[in-house]
Amino acid sequence: MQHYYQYFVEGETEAKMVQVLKTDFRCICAGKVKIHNVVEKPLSRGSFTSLRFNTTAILIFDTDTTDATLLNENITMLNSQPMIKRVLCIPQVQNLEQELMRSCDIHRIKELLSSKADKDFKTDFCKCNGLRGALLKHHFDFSQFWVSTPSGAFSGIPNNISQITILTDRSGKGRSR
Amino acid sequence: MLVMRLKLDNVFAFNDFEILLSYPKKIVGSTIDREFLSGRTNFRYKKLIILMGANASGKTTLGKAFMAIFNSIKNKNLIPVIKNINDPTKKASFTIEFVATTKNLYRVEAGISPPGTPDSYEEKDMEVSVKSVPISLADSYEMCAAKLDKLAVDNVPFHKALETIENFGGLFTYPSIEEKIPTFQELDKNGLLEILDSVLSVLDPSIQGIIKARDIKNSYVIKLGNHEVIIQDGNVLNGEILSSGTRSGIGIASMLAAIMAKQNGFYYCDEKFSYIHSDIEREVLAKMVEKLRDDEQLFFTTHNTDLLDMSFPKHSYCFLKKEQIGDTCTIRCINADDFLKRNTDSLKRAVENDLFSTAPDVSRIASL
Repeated sequence: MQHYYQYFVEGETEAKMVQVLKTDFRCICAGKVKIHNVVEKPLSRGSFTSLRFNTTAILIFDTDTTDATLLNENITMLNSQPMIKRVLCIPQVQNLEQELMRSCDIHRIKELLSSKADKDFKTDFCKCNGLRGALLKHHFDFSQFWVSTPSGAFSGIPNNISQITILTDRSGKGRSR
Repeated sequence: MLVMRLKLDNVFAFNDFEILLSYPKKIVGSTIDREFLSGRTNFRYKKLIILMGANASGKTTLGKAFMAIFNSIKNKNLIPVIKNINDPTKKASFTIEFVATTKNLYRVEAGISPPGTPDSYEEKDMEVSVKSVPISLADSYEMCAAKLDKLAVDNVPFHKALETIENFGGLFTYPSIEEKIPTFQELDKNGLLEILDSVLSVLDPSIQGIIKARDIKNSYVIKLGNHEVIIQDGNVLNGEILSSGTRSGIGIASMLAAIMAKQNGFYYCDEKFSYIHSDIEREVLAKMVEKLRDDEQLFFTTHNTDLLDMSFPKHSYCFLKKEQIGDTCTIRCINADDFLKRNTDSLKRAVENDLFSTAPDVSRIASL
């Protein structure tokens, strides 16, 4: 049976990151991407009905807030849907910028795309046409990306990145975790 | 007639766009017969290009760009391209490589600078170079392209340069329920009636038959119960009784007839199947490809993912991806065979899971 993947991501930057990881680096399972902040917004009935049967839902979210109630409700809701095979969580500790700083050779997020200031990073990231090249230039190490365990309100949420990781990238370089 | 490469910059919505239509290696047991230039087995070209992509990703516009360039070359002036320059304050350019009727690879490069006075382009604003090399028995496209790279350009006026190119043409059809068939008489002589009868009776089993009209020029009569529907030059004169699918079948049948009559050699079939059942689209496409002869090429645009598991080689599938980054719009062509190398890789599975990142972003609808 055909297996589908559906990513629900925090924002545009995460959507772009997933695109680069699945299409350019080929290091995560390919799947369609919807922007939906599962920590702050409940998933509506319409969010499920357009999904295909046998879909794995992958939730990518920031953990820089103090309330995970809505996230847990969304996970419960997803798990109860017949078309959902399983729900996987990828908590970002604490957000995408910090994940990138841990997995690239940069100290400030503005260094990744030579942004004027840290606050310009998101805009530059979304506008960037050669993100794969920019990440490689800063020695992006996928084995250090999306691997941290969250704390605080999100401490009980598992990190399921290993379940969507593809072991080799396009260059054939090992990506085992 | 076949196109090997097209580059566009600042023409229509294409900026720094390139599509390559050769493929790297012979496919053993390919379902597409003789997918190389006749008599030149190493000169591999894509005989079938199934173009897919989200809405407004450039599928129709690519056909229009081909048509504008073909007309520019045929008419020896660049007006058809100039009319479609996206930003007239910037330089526009195109490069096309193609094989016309003889075994020569042509490369036409054109650059159009912004005019001194808005909207009044002069000859000095246009630079055109035409190069060609004969394709030898053992040549591949890549070898010929390398020979073209080394050739010097003759410094002659652009219309003189374009005069050196052989005649060629293409057949372009765009989405519409019905359309005039300009070559009705020619197609009629080449079996259009039989093809129309077969296609329309599949689309609507209640059609009892199609006959040639005795008293009306260039016309057929569709017999449907107590009704008679007249088609003249492809236009349905009294077609309220026909479904949208059946009406669009007329254009599809004429495209198929043109291919079977070897009318052009280059065919651009753009989303003619929006009203048509998926099984019929698959069958018609299979027949079109089967009927393509040597040195012909078919572009086929569609949204139908059911075509992804047809047994065509993976190099037949291309995906257009449009991205708006700030003020700049970019359209890229993504080749399925760049991603899926193994025979066992499922193209349909890859597309349904959006491996190429070409699916539309539906988040804003979902968030309503």
